Amino acid sequence: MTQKVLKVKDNDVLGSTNEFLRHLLSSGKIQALLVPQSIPSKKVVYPVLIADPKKLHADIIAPVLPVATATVVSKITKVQPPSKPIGVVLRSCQIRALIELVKLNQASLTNIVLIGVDCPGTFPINTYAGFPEKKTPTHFIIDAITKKTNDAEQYLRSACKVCKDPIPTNADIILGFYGTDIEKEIIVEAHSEIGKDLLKDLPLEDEKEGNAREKAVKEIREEKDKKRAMFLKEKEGIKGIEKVAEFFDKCVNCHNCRQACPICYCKECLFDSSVFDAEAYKFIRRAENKGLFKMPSDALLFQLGRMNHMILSCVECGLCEQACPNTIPLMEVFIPAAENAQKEFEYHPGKDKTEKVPMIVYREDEFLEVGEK
Amino acid sequence: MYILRALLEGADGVFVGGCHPGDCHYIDGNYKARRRIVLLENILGTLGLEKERVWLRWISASEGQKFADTMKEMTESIRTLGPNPIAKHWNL
Repeated sequence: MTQKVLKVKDNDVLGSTNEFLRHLLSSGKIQALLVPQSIPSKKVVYPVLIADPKKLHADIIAPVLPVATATVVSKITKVQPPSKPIGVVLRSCQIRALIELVKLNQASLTNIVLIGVDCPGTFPINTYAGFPEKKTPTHFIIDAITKKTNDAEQYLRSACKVCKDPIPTNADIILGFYGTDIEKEIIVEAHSEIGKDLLKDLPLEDEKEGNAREKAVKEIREEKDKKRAMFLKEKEGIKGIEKVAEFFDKCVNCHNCRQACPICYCKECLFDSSVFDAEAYKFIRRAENKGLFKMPSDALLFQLGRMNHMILSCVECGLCEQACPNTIPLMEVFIPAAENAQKEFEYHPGKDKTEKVPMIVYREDEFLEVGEK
Repeated sequence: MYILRALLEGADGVFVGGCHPGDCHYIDGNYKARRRIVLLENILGTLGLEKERVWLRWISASEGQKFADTMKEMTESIRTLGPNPIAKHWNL
């Protein structure tokens, strides 16, 4: 790993990161950059694919994740990966999701340069669009990072509050906001050969100080681990059919959560297929079984079925929860389920792109007690 | 999926049978099924739903007696558990 420093001029964090990204795009080594950039109304920051460095006005700090960036990268690379490198700026959860999509043959990392950014968390899209404070959400977050305050915590999405790991791994280049005074310096790390090569010609300075970054990263990871452990303990209560049914009772079976999920990639979801179409007499028979029968049917079957399909690869980005029109706090169930299921299979989604997803492999000498008395 | 559906519809128990591991014409379907059952039971466990109602047993086509014995054993075990509490929920 090579560590360098990007000097921030006049406390202008975005200005300096944009200068860095423009240099990268002008270097001739990459043909386009996918960056978070404000749309003209300034209400939302979307992933924007930029070919012209002059048009680049990214906001890599903006605390909002309107869509799964991993899904966007899948869209760009699935049919045919780019012939020359493209740089993509991603938060840690989206790098994890992208690696899962690569394993599932839904995206390619060929000619994709992963640029990870330290993630201070994101706000729900509506909180971001109508931010109640005087500052912009981005400056609010920069302030919180600089002054090391918890001011932003109140606005964070629940998934971000208990994020597994806000520091990116598996990136070619990492832009670090922790372990530094980001209004003066941003840490730029190269974690691969291509990353090193790209940084070579950019106006960066060598890192002189010792391990401030390492220490800060360790502290943040420990703090998040603690919060996540507390959350898991608190949510142990959603158990038994009474509580589970009540938890999902506002689910209208709209499938928005599936649409927003970076892992749910199936072209035709089982729940949109004709599998659940049936003749009237079958509906009536189901009503007769229980005496009565709520329509639309099978909302809980959808939730548990979807969970069963994606939970081992769940990266806990919380986009399902953000997409729910009826504000069901899905993370309260999905994070404990992901934790337990992934532990069972000793599987860490997004950790290693060469690892196979657990449901397509097996070992003869595992789970030997299962199926025996 | 179909196990979940049966349980949510109110089935008191669901039986999944397969050939013994390492001894199946279809080579590895049972190994994969074993993983799927482990995952399903794990999810049911997280949600406090009764995973004891899902039975996976290895019984080959020639083990008629074992099949009959297992069925009896499962019936007894489910009888002890009582009716599936999900059966009375009509709003799922």
